[in-house]
Amino acid sequence: MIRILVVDDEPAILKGFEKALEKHADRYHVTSVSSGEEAAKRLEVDSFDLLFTDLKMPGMDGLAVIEHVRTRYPKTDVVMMTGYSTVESAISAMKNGALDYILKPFTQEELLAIVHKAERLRHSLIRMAEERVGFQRWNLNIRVQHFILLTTFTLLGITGVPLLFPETFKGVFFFEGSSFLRGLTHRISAVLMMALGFYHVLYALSTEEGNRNLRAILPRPLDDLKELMQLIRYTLGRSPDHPRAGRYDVFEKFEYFAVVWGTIVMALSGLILWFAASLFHVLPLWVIDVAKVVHRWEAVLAILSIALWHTYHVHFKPGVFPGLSVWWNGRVSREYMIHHHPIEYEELTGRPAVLDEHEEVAK
Amino acid sequence: MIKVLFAAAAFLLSPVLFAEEPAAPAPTEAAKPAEEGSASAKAAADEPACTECHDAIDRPQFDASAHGKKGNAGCTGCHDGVVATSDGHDTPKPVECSRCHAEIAGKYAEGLHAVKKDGDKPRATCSACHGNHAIPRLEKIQPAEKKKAMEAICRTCHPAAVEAYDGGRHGRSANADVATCTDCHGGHDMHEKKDPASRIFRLNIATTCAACHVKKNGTGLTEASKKAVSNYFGSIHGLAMVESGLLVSATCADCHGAHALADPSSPGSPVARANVPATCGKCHQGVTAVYLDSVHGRELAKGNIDVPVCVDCHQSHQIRSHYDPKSTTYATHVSETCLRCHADQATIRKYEFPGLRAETYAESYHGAASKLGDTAVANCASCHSSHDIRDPKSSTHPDNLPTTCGKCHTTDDPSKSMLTGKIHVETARQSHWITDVVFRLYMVLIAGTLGFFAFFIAIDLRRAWRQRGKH
Repeated sequence: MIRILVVDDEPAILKGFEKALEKHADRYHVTSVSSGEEAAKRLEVDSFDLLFTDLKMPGMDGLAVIEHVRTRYPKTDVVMMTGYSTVESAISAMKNGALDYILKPFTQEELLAIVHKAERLRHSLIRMAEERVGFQRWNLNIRVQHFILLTTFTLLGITGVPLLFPETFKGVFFFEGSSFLRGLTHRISAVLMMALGFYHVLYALSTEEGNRNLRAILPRPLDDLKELMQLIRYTLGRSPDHPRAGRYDVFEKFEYFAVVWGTIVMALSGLILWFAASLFHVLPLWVIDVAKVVHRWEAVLAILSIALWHTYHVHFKPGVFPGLSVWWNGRVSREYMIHHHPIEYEELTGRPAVLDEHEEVAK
Repeated sequence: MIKVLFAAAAFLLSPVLFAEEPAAPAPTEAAKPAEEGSASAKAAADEPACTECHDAIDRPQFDASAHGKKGNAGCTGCHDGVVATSDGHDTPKPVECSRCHAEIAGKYAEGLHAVKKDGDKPRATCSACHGNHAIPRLEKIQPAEKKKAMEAICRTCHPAAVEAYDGGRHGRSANADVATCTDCHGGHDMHEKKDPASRIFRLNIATTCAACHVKKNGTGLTEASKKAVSNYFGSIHGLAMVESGLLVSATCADCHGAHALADPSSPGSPVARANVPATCGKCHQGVTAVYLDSVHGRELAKGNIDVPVCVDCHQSHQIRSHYDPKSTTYATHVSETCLRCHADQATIRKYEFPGLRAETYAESYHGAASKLGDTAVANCASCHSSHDIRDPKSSTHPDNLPTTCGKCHTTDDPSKSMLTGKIHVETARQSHWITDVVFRLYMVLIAGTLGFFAFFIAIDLRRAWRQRGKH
């Protein structure tokens, strides 16, 4: 739905305008006002995609309206309506930021054509802006959380894996006291990761943004299963349609809960092993054996998952290679958004999540 | 008499005469007849004069001896001051070898044999060792006979030591270069063993042995026996002795014996396996007693030499403090040391040891951290102890486990500890059925998850390949 505001001190023009677009009421919503001042008031209340303004009006004239809209409502595009006598002014208006101009008097067809043209122009401008900037998917808060998770996970891996293959890593921790350093680094990283976990729970439950994200990521078992099956059918080439995901697709949900599960399991088993010395005076020895089995194999599962699965999706997947920049600047491209999160794209932009023809070809 | 003097004068002058001759094309040819003429003239002149009366002296033997050689003194060269009297001659001055052998005599005078005993006689004079009229020419002694000659000389006064030497490794060796008495004790410069200047002063013994065992090459020594001495210098015994001057530290002879030193292979040797604890126990008495009461020590007492003796764990020549990271008994090396036997399949079968000790320890946190250099975690000895490994009074008997583990994992009341269960867990089942179930669940989880990942990535790559170029 394109929202249009028409400004003209001649009621006939306004009437003609409304009449011309009446047949297309499903696509265009027209609001008309008779002066620049009225338009300014209306703009404070509603937002418009297109604004048609007469040039010569008493009080606030067309150029003043353009200036007003350009500085305060950059998302609204302006088309100038003018007579022959003021073509020069129309040109200067365009230099000042008007999208186009139309000569009065105009027929219905001429008006429709100019509306379509403005619409296309506007669309390609928006697309260009989306292409240039992309979509802000992660804010600084989430990026910092991800960075802490990435760092602590890596450190825990580096200082933990040698215990699984001591023969291979013999001599890697070679300087005096480095085995102490290994243990210390492991524990510090673990504490940091657990602290991050606590913070994340607070973030998800008590901030508006976290809450919104949490609701979006909560599993909907039936829908998620359908999405997964459709994704597999699509990937196998049995269906042409990629499943349409919202803010989080089924794999993102899966990975998120894998991290939640892994953190809890590793933290609990790790704490048992950390305090085994004191604990086995109150717990039977096999509990510590269980903690060891869990800590070891959960680590193997986590490291292999990150190495294989996560790395594939954020780095090596065709179309993604050499990697997403979301973890660094929080942004994803328009194509990525349309392809992976079409429903979210539509909610954000109000436009259908389809790539333009030339974009498809370029891809 | 005049003849004697003439002959002597001619003899003494002859080198001078030769020396004065210019370097003529063939001076030796010219000199030879004169030399021989001179020597024979001297002999001819001497013989009737001295051996006419002193007929106990074997004149040809003297002539063949070192001093009978051309250019050396005849009778009067040593027996100076013979003055003719009506009935023969005066008692000559006492023989003084130092007149010619001043340097050697100087060394001798400072040495042990010159020390006077019982009044004013030295312990051994020159002639006591060298003899008098039949002193052999050195170059005429065959290398193989040197040892015998030396033994013969020393045996006169030191029969017991020489007999011990004869029975020892050096004495029985057929090697011409093998050490004889003077190689270790010194010759003219011989000192008492308590004298710091002596080659067998405790501080110097290793250096004395090293003279052959490190420095001499190609004398039939095995590489091992050469390495042994150089290793000793880096060992705790060697460093204590040489660097710190700690005389009570062990040196070569303490373990190997001196004159009677013997191979480890000969049963009576102090370094034969069965005798090692007794040998080490000479100094390390306390710990040896503990060892002898351990499972290893008791077996040894039964004559089983498969069991480890001191040097198997501590090494012999390379022995180091267990605080030394290079030591075989350093915290992170203990397991390797024990596992030399306890992970050896033949030994495990022979003595029915519980299996998988190496693997189960390596699997444990103790084992893995130890391998990575953590000295704080438990090694074999931390739980099983070292010298006093016992059965049934074992530190790893279930009754004693709380105390043993409590050495590191302290608790206020060991009796209340829940610490029961298997330590060397071979399979998860041995820990608890829950451990086993959790382990199996993880195997399924990992296989399933990674299997799905691999499947999806494969089909996704295939999709991308098929869709390349079109969209």
